[in-house]
Amino acid sequence: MKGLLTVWRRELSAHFLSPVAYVTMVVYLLVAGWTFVWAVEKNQEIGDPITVSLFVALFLWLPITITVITMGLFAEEKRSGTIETLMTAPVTEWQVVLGKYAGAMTFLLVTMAPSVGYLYIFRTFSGGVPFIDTGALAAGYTILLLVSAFCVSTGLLMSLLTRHQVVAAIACFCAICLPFILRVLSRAVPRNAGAVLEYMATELHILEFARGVVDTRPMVLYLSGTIFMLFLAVRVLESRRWT
Amino acid sequence: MDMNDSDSEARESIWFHRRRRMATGANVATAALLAALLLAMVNYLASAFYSRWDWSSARLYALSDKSIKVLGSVNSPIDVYVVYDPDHESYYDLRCLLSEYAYRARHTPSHITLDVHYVEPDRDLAAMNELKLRHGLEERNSVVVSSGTRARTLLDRELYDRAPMVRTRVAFNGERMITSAIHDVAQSQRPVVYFLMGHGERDLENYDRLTGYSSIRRAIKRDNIELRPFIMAETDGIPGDCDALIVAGPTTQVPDAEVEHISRFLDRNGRVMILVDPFVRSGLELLLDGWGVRLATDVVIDRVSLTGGREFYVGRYGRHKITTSLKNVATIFSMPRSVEPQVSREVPDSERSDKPRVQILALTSKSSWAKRDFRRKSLSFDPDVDRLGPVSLAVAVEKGAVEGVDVALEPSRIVVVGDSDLGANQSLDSGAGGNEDFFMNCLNWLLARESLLAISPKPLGSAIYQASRDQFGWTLAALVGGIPLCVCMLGVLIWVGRRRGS
Repeated sequence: MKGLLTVWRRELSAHFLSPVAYVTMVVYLLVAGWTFVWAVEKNQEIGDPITVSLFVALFLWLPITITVITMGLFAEEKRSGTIETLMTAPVTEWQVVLGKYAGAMTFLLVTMAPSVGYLYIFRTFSGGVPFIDTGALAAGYTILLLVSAFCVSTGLLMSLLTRHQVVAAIACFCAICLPFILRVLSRAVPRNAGAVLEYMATELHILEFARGVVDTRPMVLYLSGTIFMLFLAVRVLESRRWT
Repeated sequence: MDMNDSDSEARESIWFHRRRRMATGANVATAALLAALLLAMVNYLASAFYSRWDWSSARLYALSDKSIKVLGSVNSPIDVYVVYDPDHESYYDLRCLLSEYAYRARHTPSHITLDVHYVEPDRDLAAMNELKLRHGLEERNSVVVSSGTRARTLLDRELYDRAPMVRTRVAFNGERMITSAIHDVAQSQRPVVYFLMGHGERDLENYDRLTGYSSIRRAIKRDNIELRPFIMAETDGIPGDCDALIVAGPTTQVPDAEVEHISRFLDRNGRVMILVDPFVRSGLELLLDGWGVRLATDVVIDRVSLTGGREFYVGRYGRHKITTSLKNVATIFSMPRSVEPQVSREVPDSERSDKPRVQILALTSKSSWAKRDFRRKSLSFDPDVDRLGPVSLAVAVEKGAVEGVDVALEPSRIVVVGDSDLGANQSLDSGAGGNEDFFMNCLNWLLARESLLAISPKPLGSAIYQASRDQFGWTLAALVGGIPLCVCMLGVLIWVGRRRGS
């Protein structure tokens, strides 16, 4: 546990003391805020819940933000050679992987945290929202947390597989985007295969949770997917010792 | 010799490392494969044993106890076809609601299967053709609920209550409509409703925009009810399989013999819906008088009107199962007559089941009045002759059932409406939305399908927000300017702090 905390603290200071991190946060909040207002204005006449506009805006820029956060997690360590120092330190592979993962997740959550106030700000300035559906808000943030957890673990694994940050970034982005386009893919394949793809389609999960509908199936899917990715990352890291 | 030895050692070392790398790779691959299998198993189990909750404030997608009871009473598998484009505004509301139905159906004692099939009209042409052939699908953006050979189609406009004039969605009717459809298709027999003809009544085959009844005929058919027009003189009485009788807008007097048949039908726990226009002597006045209903010779005028006070919206309803779902919906009446309960003595509890219970269904506003002599030129209120509103325009009568006592006694039921335009094409297509609901609620109550009427539409309050361009501008400035600026300043402060520290 101590080793994990040490790695986590090291990651946090690497994130929060770097100007790149603040640029990432500012850019994410700029585009997410703008997309939210645009989506609300567009959906005004349809009558879709305002929480749908909020979570569509937050999810739209998630793949690229997570790619920026995770692409350098291991690739940069490999390139600069600090991975050897890390691996010879008295920490296990699990502690290294979980510590780095926790650091990236913490940074991502801090980046997205101001979005909690979006609806309250909208209500203050527009006076148009009669009340804020806290249930739907809680459901939406639940799926946001789970999808983010899965995407960060996927990005971490991709970063571990290469020493080049650009390659890691491309691999991360493609792997993270895949669940987001499964809905479109499901419409292009035979019905049975389409049903399986639809089951895993992140777009559908977001639109259901953003309406306040909580289902254990996507929750188990993302949790088990996260554990699977982290397990693979540990196995890949362990294999470095033996080669 | 030494050279050969070192070569051999080097080769041995290379092979050793290659074997080790392959073994490590195989080890990682095997572990990944086993973990993937475990992942698939966990998710397979999760898909079979799952739970759902609706955390939203409006609980738009949670099913009421009545819907769960209806699902519990169904014994045959149900197929629901959602014929919608995925970009349609209703698509995700239906998707969330139908997922809840499928989930609840699995947990009923009979474990019925409720399969939801999503059909894209432009892509699934084969499925569209099959639905057209098998279930008579008429238009896209519909939901077809089927069980075996029975099916019922729900149109998109039935799924939402819309605000008058502006047509924005104000309430979601999905649960009431889908539960009602499941209930209908699961029934082994369709209810039979007879439509009286021969006295100048409205014509079910008439497509005239003003007077025709073709739209209500389509709505009745869509509700899985068999509608049979008939002339009583030809059948010598009301047929034995008649579940309910409709008498809509007779322009000549119904003969006494036929009134006698209707009276006997009511005494046999029959169900009758009567729609009578003002200044028409229908011959039913005496019969209704005996059932506690007074048909006055007047016409009702309302200041809150559409055209000259003769056609107006009614949004005040009495407390009744028929009107439960009409909270946000207005109904159009056109030159109606007043229909009111007879003023009578207090009835003791012991006699209550034998006495007809009359309840008001629809009322005009306080700014209305019942005009006794409409042939006068002026429509204004005359305090000497006219009666000031609110005026009752429709009543429901029940006899044979005691409120609060659950006995297997079939009560007689009558609905009387003072305007046969209620079900005319013009009123149904006017956009007010309430006329079809009002008519069908009356019919469903007569057919004892009232348990479904008690499922109220769910208001879309949380979804409705209106903001001007300026307000959007301020919000944009706060979100895009304010928050990122704060983060930016925090970053600069940390950077400056670190520089000073170093």
